[in-house]
Amino acid sequence: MLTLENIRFTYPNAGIPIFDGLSLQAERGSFVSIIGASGSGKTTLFRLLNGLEQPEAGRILIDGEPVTARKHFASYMPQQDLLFPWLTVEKNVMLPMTVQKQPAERSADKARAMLAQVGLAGWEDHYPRELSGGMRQRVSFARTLCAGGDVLLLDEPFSALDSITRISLQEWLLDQWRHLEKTILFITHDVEEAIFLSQKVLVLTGHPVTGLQEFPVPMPAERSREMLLEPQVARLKEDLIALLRSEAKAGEQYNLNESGIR
Amino acid sequence: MKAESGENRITGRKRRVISIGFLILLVLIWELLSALIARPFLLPSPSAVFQSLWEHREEIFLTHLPATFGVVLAGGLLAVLLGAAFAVAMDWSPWLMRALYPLLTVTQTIPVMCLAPVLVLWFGYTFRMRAVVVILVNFFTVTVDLCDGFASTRQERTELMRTFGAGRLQQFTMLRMPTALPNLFTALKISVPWSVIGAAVAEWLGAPAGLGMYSRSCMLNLDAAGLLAPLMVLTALALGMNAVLGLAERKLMRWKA
Ligand SMILES: Nc1ncnc2c1ncn2[C@@H]1O[C@H](COP(=O)(O)OP(=O)(O)OP(=O)(O)O)[C@@H](O)[C@H]1O
Ligand SMILES: [Mg+2]
Repeated sequence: MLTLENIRFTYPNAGIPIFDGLSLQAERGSFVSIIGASGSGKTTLFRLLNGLEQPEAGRILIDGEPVTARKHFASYMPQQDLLFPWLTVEKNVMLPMTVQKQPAERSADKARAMLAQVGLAGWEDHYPRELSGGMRQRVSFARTLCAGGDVLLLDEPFSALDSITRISLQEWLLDQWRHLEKTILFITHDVEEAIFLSQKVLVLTGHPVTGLQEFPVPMPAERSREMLLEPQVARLKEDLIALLRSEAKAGEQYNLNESGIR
Repeated sequence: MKAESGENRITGRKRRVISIGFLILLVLIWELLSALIARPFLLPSPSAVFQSLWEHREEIFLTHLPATFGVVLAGGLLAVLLGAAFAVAMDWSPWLMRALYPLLTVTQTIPVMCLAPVLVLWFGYTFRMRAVVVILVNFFTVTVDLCDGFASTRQERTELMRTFGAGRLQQFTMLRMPTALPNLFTALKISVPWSVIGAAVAEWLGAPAGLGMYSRSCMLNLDAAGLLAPLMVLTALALGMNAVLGLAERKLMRWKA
């Protein structure tokens, strides 16, 4: 169980906090999507979870103990792929395992297997510059899965993919999730993607974000794309879109006021 | 992508043809000019220079070139090692960086070559003195270039390494060092001609052997062709060393292409 309690966080040199009194819970082994307007603080939330930023107030707990006591419990897939240009695709995927000093032979096997699963068999020895944006994103995704954390923090992992690849990777990810017993937090801009993948959808609202609106997804774990057409699922989708639109409007108003102050 | 690099190769070859043609043109003009002036002790013709080079080939290539090459190599390698050591230390300790970096950028403007006579006072006309000149000429460039290279590491990549659990040492060896590799090669390529110049100037001041010393003895004999011949060899030496560096660079940085 991953728990955030009353988190407050402000970036240095920013007057207003991003989060103030934010709380969140994710069951062990659950799949939770996070959506919110651009700039609402989704990436910041992940930075807090993986220890790149420290909250000013509040606690982040994993199974009841503070995260600071745990070393890399979370595997983070950043929004930009951040592949190392001087490493081959395979070496890039091996990177977290190399850092953790796992035997090279086994890491290489694991990396190759993971690359095959994201549809990049045969690309192991190429350099990142030879790959398209979508392919790079898949390499980054494979690398994240090799980092071995119990919690996966995926920041828009499929945003650069064409819709067909995206759908097949979504299905693949769902399948993985059922087997891996990992907790997945998944940031996306795509409401349908959030619904299709997750058990619950969290929406960041407000400036600063004081709480999350929580929407359970009315679909079983074993699901197919057809279920997205069921009336209660379609209604959830419309509700979420409406909420995001009103948030976006509020955000514009907020930005106007902000720039007026400065 | 492939077609593009092919095009580049053609333009690269074209450029080489143009510059070689231009070089030949210059040599011809020089030849013509020296024939017109007809005072070989003022302006020797290129053919006279090559003739002098040929006549003294044994002395130049077996005695003086190895002597100069030794100074360049020893001084250059030590400069790189020392400069790299400083750069690593400064990158590791922000405190050292703040203390030394401004100082280094200032010392870069000192014409180190002019300090060579002082070094003669300290070390005499020795191999060590000439190597020290070469070290001083290059040390600062290498340090500053490498520091800048380390500092060009993207913050996001460092953060990613941290989420993998990488400590400072791993961040340094697996991320900052490869990031700075292109800067190392830039520094090396700039260092080569300066090392050659430094070595020649140091020998000019006085040395048992070396192309600079040979050139000076020719000057004292008013042998202008003999004075220029070793300069050709020095230029070829610098060009040759940079060609080797270029090969190593392409080999080590295939990912860049
Ligand atoms: N290093 C930083 N320093 C100061 N402010 C920052 C920093 N990083 C982000 N911010 C600000 O914090 C807010 C939230 O940023 P964040 O990156 O978390 O948004 P996001 O929800 O991930 O947006 P997007 O959907 O566009 O990726 C933004 O207003 C941004 O300007
Ligand atoms: Mg973001």
